[in-house]
Amino acid sequence: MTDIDSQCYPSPGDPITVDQLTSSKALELVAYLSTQSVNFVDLVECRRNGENDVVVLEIEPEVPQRPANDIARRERLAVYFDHADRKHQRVLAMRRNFPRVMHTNVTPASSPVELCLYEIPYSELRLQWTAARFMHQVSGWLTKTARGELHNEDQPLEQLFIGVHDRIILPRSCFTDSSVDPLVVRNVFDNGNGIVLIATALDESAAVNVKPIFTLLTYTANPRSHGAIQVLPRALSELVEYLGDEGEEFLEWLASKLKECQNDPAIEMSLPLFLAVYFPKQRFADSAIESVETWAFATESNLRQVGAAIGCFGTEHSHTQGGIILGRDTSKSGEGIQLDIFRPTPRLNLSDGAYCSGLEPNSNEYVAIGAGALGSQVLSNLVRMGQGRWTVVDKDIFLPHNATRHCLTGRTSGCAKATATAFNLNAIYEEQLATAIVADACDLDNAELTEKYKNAAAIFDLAASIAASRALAIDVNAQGRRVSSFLSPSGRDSVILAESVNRQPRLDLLEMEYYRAIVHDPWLSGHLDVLGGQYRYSNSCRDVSVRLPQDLVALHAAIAARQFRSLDNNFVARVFRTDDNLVTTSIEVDVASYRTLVVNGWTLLISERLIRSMVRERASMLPRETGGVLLGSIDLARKLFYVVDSLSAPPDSQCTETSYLRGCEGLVDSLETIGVQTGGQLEYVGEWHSHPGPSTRPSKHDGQLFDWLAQHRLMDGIPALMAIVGEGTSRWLVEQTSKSKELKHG
Amino acid sequence: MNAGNRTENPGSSGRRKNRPMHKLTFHPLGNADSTRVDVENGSKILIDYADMRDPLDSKDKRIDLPKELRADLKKFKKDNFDVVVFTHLDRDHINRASEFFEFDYAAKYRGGERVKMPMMWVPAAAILEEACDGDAAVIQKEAKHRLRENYGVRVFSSPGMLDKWFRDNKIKPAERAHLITNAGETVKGFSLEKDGVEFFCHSPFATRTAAGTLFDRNKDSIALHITFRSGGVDSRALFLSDLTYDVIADIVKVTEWHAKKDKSRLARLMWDIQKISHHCSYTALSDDKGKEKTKPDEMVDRLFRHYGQKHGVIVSTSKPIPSDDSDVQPPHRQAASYYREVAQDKFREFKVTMETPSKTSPAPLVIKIDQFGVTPEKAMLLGASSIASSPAPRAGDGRGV
Repeated sequence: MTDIDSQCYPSPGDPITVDQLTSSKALELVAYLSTQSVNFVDLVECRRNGENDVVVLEIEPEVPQRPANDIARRERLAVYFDHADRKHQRVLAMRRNFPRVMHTNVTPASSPVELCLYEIPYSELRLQWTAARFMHQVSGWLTKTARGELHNEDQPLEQLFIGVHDRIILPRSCFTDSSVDPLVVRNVFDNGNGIVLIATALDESAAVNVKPIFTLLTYTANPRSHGAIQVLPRALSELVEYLGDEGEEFLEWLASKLKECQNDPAIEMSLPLFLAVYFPKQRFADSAIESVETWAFATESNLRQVGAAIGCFGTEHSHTQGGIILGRDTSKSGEGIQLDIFRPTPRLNLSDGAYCSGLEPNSNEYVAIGAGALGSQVLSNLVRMGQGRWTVVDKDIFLPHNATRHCLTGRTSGCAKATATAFNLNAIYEEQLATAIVADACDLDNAELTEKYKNAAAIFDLAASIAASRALAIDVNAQGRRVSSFLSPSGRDSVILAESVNRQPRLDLLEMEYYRAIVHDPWLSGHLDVLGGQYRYSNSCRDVSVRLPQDLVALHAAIAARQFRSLDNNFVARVFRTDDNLVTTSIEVDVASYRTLVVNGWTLLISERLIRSMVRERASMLPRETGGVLLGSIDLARKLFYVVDSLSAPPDSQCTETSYLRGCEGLVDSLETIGVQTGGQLEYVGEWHSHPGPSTRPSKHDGQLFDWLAQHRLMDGIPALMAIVGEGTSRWLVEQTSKSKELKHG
Repeated sequence: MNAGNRTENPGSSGRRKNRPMHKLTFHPLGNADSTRVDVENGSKILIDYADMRDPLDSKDKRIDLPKELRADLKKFKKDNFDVVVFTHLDRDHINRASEFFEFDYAAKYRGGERVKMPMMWVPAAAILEEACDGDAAVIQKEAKHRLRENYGVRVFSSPGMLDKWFRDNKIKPAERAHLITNAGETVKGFSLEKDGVEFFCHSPFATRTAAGTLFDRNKDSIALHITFRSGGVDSRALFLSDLTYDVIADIVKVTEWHAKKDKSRLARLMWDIQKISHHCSYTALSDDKGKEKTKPDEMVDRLFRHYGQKHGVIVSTSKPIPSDDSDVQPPHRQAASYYREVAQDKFREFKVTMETPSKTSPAPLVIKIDQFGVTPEKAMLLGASSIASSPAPRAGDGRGV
């Protein structure tokens, strides 16, 4: 017997010759080992053990002078090859005192340590498997383990139970601090390859109608430092043994817990016990608790039987008939209670979502207006990325045709969109992140809604309604910035408008600047064209929807979510355009500031850019007068004039040193084009002309002009607006029912 | 460990790339020396340069040294070694150096692909020896040139050894003192704190005779003790050039004598890596080869067994160890037997450059040095990565190396 033989477990199975190997991969490994250029590894022998070929080899891993783990300079390994090539090769370290380090599978104490080499399933690995790569992986495992680097310092502390197929999904709190006791296991899924249990709080509303199948008790052990468990407990008594000094403490806890359960009518003592044990883990003995390792065990014994086995209840045959006996019979420590190990998996919360997305979590409160095609998908994106807690506002009902472009499915037809969307968002994580309000976003009498507006860090308008957007901007009294995103009718373009954190410029003004950009920027030509046509989903005259594909909605929902989560303190006005391959480009809308004038009870919001342009045109025509047509939008309900832009004097205008007579050549066409381009949002709002001198006092002619204008506008029910631009100043006149009033502005 | 998360394979040996680490690279050159020292701070130091490979012999397993060194410099975007050490001017330490390095003293040794050496270290003998030829002459001329011009050279000496040469060249010795390192001193310009590396000169040295007068011995070779510091851990390497056993024994004696006053001196004998002297010749151990195993001088034995650290590495820069005595030249199997015994003693390793990783295809022996101490590299190359890391053989070349 050689030196190494005496240190090793006997090799498994019976020796065979290389010719007798069944597994082609075992043959490939043997061939690889006998290649002349392969160093640091030697074949010892081939064996057969049941359904496996076993290749025994000795490897010289790279071991430093002062290794972090006791890896020897020569290690004997036994590699198991499944004859049918269905599973990972098992790699056993044959040395008896091979360390039970991290990334080893849990095996009994008296058997060889099994290396855990891969986390990807064998079905995937098989496609790439070569003997050289396999040995490389083995050698890398040993080398890194020798240096203590297999488990990177920035990697979370070790997760055990690799190779355990049965899983239990536990509340997130079980992995951070001690959770609320007791839990129940209600749902079981058997997917053929291990079962999955779902544990929930006793009173979790979504699950109360389902009958529990286990009662789950949770025990928090004393903190211990990072490291692999040595032996997997298979019985309650072994767990007690594993806990060492703490074992008795654990039994006392379990006894008192079981007694509590017996006094709690909500708990069924006849259900089998499921036990979760939390080990707060430190990286080093004196460092802070870094994580909680959770072990989960199912028993087949019910709470009474467990109580009897640990000596806190009498046995069923004793005279107490399962009743409580005073003081625990400390001679009993759970003998005969078998444990089946489950791999614990946490449910997720918002922070986990952000972490998985590579983002910082954002738990601000937001209000979203509109749970339609775009809204539902934007919210789904944001919540999955751990971005925000949301109030979803929508008054509409979900109808079958909505399902073509919505997060919801036909199953929720008939539900309020807001309610069903919030329900879905709340199902993403354990945490409840969404609240629904079924109401019109403009209904400011709704106290719940206005309260939400007040507390929102931002109000995100996804409703594609100009009325809602205007109301949000002006009427809703709240601090949070307003953000709006909507699709163009064709679905090809989308728009994001966001106020700065101190609400500058206001959303309605950003919208006006966006309309202006549609007129001026050739890149935006055809922006509001309707391409897909409309279709009727029911027989009422309003039951019409546009035809556009879900892929475009999904794309723009992704863009809108990214825009929202990327907002800094500044305002944003941006348009995205996709081509037929969904390649997207964007432009920034040039945003001017506005000044506010109140004239005759009307509020004038006037673009500074427009004023500059009028001043320029006046100067360029000096000493003659000039003028043009003012474009903008009028909000009759709120008595607002948005004065956004102008058209220069038509070519047939007469500009003299004492007068300006606006011509009309091409004017109607221009106005009509602008109306089409902007979906009617920019229109004629008034006239302006210049005075050569500093005076902006209306002349006699000006007065006549204004009266003419007023009479014409009266037909539309709209007051006349006229501006006079002099040197360094301008004057704005708004017609009032009987006589005009004016305001001079320097 | 969510389903579908496949970012980390626990056994993946993809090393963290480009983490700086001290590294010694011994090149398989037969009975000849060239060792590259990569310092954590990015410095590269070459100890000896002996290009021994016969380009016309396709079976020659010795490495193509200039190609190997150039490839490494290119990888690090360097055109020079920070220091080139010529421990002495024998052929097995300097062969074809005149073809590889740039020498300032004559135009024909400048420019082209020549590798620069802003600093060269030579023993005093390189200045004082007469009648050099070939590569030795070129190195000697360059060293003298630099010493005269007062730049880019460090001479390892013992006090006074160069005084006559300075007088002959009309130079005041004090004006060149900064270019001289005497035995028992550390080399200026490197510090453990700043660079993580320190060089200590063991030889050339002078010993005192019984009468107390200084007596020059072995002025011809540089023997270095290098201390590497990484992550707060010191590792030590001893380079004994081609010293004979009596000189090695003197080094132990002298150092222990100094240690009586200054205990820290003992560390200068400790080693985690020892490049043994003279290609595993018995003369580095004793004047008697011995039948099966060389019995070393007592002080030499002490250097190996007492000062050698656990899991240390003994490196013989030599041909494979023979199984018989047919060749009088080293390596000698009797010496190797002793080294193997020393290796077994404290889980040390005995490495022969032409046997590593195998006699059939020797490759550079790399020893990494970091907070875990010294680690001989045992990279198990994958087919694809070994193909990508070496140029493909020229098709149709017919040699099929």
